Amino acid sequence: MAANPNLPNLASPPPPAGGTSRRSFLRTSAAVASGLAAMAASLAPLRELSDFGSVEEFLQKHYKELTPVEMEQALARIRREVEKQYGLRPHVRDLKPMDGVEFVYCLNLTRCIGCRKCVHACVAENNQSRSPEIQYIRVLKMPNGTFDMEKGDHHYVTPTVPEKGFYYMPVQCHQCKNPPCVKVCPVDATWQESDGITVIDYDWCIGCRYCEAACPYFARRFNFAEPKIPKEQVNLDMAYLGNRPRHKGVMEKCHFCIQRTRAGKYPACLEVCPTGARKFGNILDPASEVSQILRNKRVFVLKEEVGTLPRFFYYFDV
Amino acid sequence: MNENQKTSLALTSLTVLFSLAALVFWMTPHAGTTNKSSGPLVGTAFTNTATFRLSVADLTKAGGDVSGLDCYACHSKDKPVAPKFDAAGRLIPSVAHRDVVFSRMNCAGCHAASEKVELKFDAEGKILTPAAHTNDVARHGRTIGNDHCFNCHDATNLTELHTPGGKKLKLADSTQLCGSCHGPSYRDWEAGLHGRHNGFWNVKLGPMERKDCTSCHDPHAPDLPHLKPLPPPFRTALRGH
Repeated sequence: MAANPNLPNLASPPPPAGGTSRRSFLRTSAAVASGLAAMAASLAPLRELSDFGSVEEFLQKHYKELTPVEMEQALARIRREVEKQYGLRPHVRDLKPMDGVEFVYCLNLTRCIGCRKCVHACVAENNQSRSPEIQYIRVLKMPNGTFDMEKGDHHYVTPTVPEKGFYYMPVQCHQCKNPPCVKVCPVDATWQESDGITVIDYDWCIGCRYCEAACPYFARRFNFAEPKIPKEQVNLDMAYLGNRPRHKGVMEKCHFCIQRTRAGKYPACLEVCPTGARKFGNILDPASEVSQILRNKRVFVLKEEVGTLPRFFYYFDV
Repeated sequence: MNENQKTSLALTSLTVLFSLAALVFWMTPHAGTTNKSSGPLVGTAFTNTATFRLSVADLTKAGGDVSGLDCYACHSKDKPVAPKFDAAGRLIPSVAHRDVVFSRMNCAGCHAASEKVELKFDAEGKILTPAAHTNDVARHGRTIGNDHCFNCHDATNLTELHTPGGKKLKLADSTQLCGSCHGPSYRDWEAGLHGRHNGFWNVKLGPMERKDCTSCHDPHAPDLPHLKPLPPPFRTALRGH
């Protein structure tokens, strides 16, 4: 120790003859104090990382690897988090796909009047952020006689709808059978389930937004900021892969109201449609509405040429 | 007889044969177009609906039966009539009104036939609709002249219905009444394609609520109203969409 007394060594100054001098003690104390202050200052941003999530969340396994017990723990954690954030006790479940069920959505372009009731029912049902605004459904106002998406406008503001010379085409996640978003996900945070719904594990998503870029239907949304929902507007009927609250920095999208449809109910957008333009059901059941539509109506899919094989069909009356 | 002569003979005989056939056809009384008088092609239920096809004015002029017709047989609530007045300012009743016979459930249900209905007018001289009539609308099939009460309602009991074919129906069975004219919509509704279902798509797990015609359409004005659209998505300056 203290091989070279010419070099200042603050941690262990060379002991002068006869013990610690007053000067060296003061110098050492000042250096240690300033060092601690600097370290505290450099770690200060960590105190603001309250939205970083819990250790439990960080250590949680991938959805597909969770045992029933671990899933129960994850649901309990989500319940705690919602209770802490909103002061409300939610009903969170992990709903599995039903056997012999494959969901299909049909939308009647002859009937849609572009009132956007579906858009706002979806926001209320699925706990989307109100500020910044996140919406799963875009209603395109299209001039009659064209399917050119470039001519569509989803920002229309008119006193009343429908307007003469236009038709309205709502676009949301098409739950493709060949989903490009799933292919590009580098961490397998999004995948297709057996009932045809492409789901996202919000705890596994790293927010790279590759899926948003890959989707030809502009169906995926990114949480650029911490989502804000007024307490009284939170929907407490939640599902793990569905409408449970999301954090900043994860993707989300339409999941056919998994918390409703896997419990046998119709999606929220369908239930508010004032014209009955929206039809939903099990394509494997030949008597279901969607099966009848695919058999009897003029049906088309959007951007057929990109080969995504959507489970979302548009059709016409007559 | 050479070949040429044979050919000429054959052609001549064929010509004579066809001429005779044409002559026979021409002389036959049943040839050509005939008037078939073995009953109407279209059922009388559809052709003999004078009250649906003629205006009351036409009917009155023709001396037809105008019982069973009400004011809204001619007048639509949203098209105020322009009354005419004589030099002394008295209302001139139109020709159509001179011989109108009031039936039980029509105007005479409230107004006695002998009663003089006092009309009130606004500043522009248009008739003001009395409060008792403000809910009367007849905008069903207006463009094709089908907006008459008794096309669907029983003339003597408004709470009973009848199809154009004469089938009597209860008010609760109105869907069948609608279907008697709107075939394709009824077919789609029965299959679950027209209209909306609420509740459960999986009926094993809960009830499916089926909406019928009058859940969405006002039977007296079945056009769906135009709506004010809910607000559009917030337009961010950065993303531009």
